[in-house]
Amino acid sequence: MGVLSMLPSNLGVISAEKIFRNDVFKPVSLGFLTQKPDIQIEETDIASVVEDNIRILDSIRLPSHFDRETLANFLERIIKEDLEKDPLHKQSAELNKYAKDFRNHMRQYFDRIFDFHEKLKGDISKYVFATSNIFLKSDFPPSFARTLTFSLLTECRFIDIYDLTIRREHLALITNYNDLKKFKRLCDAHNRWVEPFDSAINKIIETRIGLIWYADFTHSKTLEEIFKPKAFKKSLLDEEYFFGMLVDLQRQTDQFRRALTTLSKETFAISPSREDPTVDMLCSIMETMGS
Amino acid sequence: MSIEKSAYFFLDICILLPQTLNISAKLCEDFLKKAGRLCYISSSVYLRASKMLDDTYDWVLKEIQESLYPYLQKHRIDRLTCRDARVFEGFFNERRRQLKTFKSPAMYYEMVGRMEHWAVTQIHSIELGREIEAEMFLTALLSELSRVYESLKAPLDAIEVKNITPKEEIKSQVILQGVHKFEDIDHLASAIQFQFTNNVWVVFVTFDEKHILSHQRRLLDVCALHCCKPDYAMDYARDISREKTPIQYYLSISPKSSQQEIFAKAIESSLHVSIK
Repeated sequence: MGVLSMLPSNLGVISAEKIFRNDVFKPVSLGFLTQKPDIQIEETDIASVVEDNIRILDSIRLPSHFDRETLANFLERIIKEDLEKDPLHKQSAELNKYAKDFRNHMRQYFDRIFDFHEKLKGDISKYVFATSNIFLKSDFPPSFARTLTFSLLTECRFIDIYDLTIRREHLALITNYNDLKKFKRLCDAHNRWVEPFDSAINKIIETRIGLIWYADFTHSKTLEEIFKPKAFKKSLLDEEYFFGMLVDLQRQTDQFRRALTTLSKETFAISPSREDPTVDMLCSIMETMGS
Repeated sequence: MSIEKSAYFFLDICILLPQTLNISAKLCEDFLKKAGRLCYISSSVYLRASKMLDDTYDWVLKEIQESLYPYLQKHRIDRLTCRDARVFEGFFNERRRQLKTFKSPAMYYEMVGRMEHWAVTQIHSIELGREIEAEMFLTALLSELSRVYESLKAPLDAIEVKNITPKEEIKSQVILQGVHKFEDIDHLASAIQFQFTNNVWVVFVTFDEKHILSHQRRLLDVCALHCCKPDYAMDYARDISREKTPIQYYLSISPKSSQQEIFAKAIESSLHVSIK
């Protein structure tokens, strides 16, 4: 069956990336921690997601008809509603729990992490689709679509390389499971390489979401119009500010990709095969939408 | 001496960007697999290749946004079925006609070709009796374009970039050997500059017969720069590894031709490296 035969009948179901979840690439605490898993993790996690998003709000320019506090309250409500419905958020919280008591939950962690990443890539593909749709109905320059989708697809590539790397680490962890010293050393090594990538990808996502928010808020007259489909017009934006954000996002993405090649040159040197169904972005969009 | 310590490959744009011929694509892939860690690209190659990709993406994107949708409307198609593939034939043929006036159209042909292939394949895959909104289809086409762009850019990111601003004196020497395309002059001059600054052999790897390989002999005789196709690159590196270093090699040429004397002077004045 072709990709298009799985398309949803209503474009309205596709929404652009609107919330920074910070639920994936934080160093997954493969550290050798012995404390009991935190059963309150989902609540505390929601609070921290809200906090992260308010920080993004504070970093962007807002249209004069919205005050920051009203928007912050609105975002807090939207984020809470979204996260409660979001199965990925629950999975992410669960994975974090396993990571915190990693030695006792290693099997569960590796049983679920790859499936989680597949779903996450499906989400990212939806955002690529939504960004393309925003561009189609706007008078934005091509650099808008190019920069945003390139940064999203770079995130997908990171997930692939991350998975490849932890598959290798998994083997080493199993082999050294009974040697506590070596096990801890492997966990520390994992945390060391993940940390810089974690902070870089989070910065990229924050910049990207800031950019989308700036465009969306500027095109919304009321709170109700925020995050709803609309036709975007360049003339409503402060072009210098908007293009400055785009250039910043492009620079961060380029730097990130350069750093990624140090982890896996092979993945970059050879372009994915066109016959490989796993790389077909639209397939994954449709699969996610169908589920 | 091992190849690794004595020779590096500087890649031309055509090695990194898609090849029209399958055999060339396979050659590049095999070469990068074998020699990837010995490969560099100069900043001039990186910037030129990135710009080519960006410009192509932007043009195709705009064509889909500004021309394809009105084109579909003109043909009264707001929903697509599995019988509508031929509608795209006219649209993409028209784009190809426009490309005939472009200065370097290869990348454009490549991306237009990929988009056309994707569009037609997807249209054929729509189940009988099902219709797809034209807007939805165009959104999917734009998404696919982004995916193609990202995958084409990947090989550029995989190769280490050497930031080199080629000196005017060295560029003049490249021109004197018959190379006249200004981008190629920068790429070759960067490779020569790297070779003599670091005293390591550089093999410039390219498919470009017309602008570079046709001057292969003079570039080697005068500038001591080896240029070859990827097929021979490893053989070149192996043979060079038995040679002296580039500076020693040039010093040992005796007697030097007048062109070699001029080149040696240019290297000395621009890089402060004596090869006379």
